[in-house]
Amino acid sequence: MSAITSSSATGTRTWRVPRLPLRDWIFITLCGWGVMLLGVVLVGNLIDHWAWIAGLFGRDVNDISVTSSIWGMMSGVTVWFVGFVTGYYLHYYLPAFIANGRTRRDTAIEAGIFGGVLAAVASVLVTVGFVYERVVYAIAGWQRGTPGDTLYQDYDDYGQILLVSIAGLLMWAAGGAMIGSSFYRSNERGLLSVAIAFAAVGLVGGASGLAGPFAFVARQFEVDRNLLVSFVAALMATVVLAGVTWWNVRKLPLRNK
Amino acid sequence: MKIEVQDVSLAYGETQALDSVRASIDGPRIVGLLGRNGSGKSSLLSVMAAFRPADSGTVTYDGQPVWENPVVASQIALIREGGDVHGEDEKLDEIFRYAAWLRPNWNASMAEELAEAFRIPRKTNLDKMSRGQRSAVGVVLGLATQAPVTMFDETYLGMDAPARVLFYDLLLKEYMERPRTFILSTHLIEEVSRILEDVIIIHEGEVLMQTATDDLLGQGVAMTGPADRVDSFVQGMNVIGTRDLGRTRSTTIFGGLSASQRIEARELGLEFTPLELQDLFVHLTTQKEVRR
Repeated sequence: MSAITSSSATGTRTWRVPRLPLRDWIFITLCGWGVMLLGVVLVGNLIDHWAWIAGLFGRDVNDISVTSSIWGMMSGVTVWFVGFVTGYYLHYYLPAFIANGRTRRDTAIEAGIFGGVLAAVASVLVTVGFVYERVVYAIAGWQRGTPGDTLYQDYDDYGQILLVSIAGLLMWAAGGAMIGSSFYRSNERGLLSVAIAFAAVGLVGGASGLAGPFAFVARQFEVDRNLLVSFVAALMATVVLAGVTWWNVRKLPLRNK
Repeated sequence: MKIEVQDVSLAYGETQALDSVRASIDGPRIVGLLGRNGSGKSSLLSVMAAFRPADSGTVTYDGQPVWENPVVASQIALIREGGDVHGEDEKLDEIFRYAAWLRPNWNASMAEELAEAFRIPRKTNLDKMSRGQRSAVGVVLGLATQAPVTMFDETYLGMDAPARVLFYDLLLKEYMERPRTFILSTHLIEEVSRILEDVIIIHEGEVLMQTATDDLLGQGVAMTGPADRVDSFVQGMNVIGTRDLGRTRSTTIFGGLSASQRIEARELGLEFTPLELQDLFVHLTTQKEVRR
């Protein structure tokens, strides 16, 4: 058996792209995205159908027709999904990888890659969803209206939608990672991390206009929103949340189940 | 590969799990880590595999520390009863798929053969398997990983007797074909003693002794005969246990018998029988003062 040689001596990179979990979870993400795309058509038609029934009872059908973005509402679930999956990754995958001969440092880097790629893929899918919705609405003759508590001014402003999505999703991925790793350490630490994570994504997301589900927070801030400032604020929150995650992981003792 | 455990201590709150533990293994060897429940076996293996940091002390492999060392860590496999897989609701194929991705020496064909030999169900989720089947999954992972240092932390205790015998046979076969270091933590000593080359006995967080199995077995002797003669014979010897049956006394000594002592014992009409490893272990761990 050959003697062990030091990786630092040879200068080789020891972390790697977590291809296998990425492949699995991107597949699940795509499946969910496909269901949501179908959902736009289904929900839109249900509303139309309801309008026809309501018309029989003398209601003004214009009040009930599709006048807002269904995708805009449905894609709100994306932040929860990305936060949950990265939390799941930190709670289940990362300890299993450490138990299989990987270091905490390498698995933490890989978790960062996983969360970053997942957030990027989800952002692209959210943006493509708006393109798809435009086509569906054009065919059906529905109206999308204008976005509410978000940084982008129009549902057709795909570049801004992509930027806003990726900034928000990165923040949620880091929050999820922090919660997942904290619950692995202890339930008390996990509960505390939930409060910290929601405070961070709620305040930064709300104040910056990367509102997500915290639109009610956004309405409390009477500030001129700027995409660049919001993007930087979200990235800073992401770095802080990722830092707490590393603090959890760096000396993580593996539980014996 | 040489494993050195140097003054490792570990505490869980007020409980001192390991207290300045020192041990050395110069592989390839099959080593038994023996100890009673709560003696610190799992804690020691956890530190040796970098599953948790020690409070103090170091563990090195060929002189390099194991903690956060990617090259060393990839050479070690610690298999625990939980399996340490990424999802309790995964099936065997999924577990193997990830093992192949994670483990540089993963032997897929061997894993398939072992899964067949242990009759592990392919379509049952891990959390729906019986304890024996889960243990078998751990055993298969440990053997097919082919890590230069493979530790089994009582992984196989959930298996039934035929499966355990199959495990011991497979482990020996593996050891002969691809010599490497196996460390078996167990309290099923009688079963496993035939395959152990070395033993480390741990008790209350301290290493009681580390020695070759054959040397250890030569140390424990039960002297049986009339109580007065036995007492007279063992005077000055290291007595680690005594049992009486009527006027007959059986006294266990630790330290072996010289040729002249054997002759003397025969002349006194005393019987002397070497102890089985398990009996010796019981005496040693209930007589803490017997130390090297």
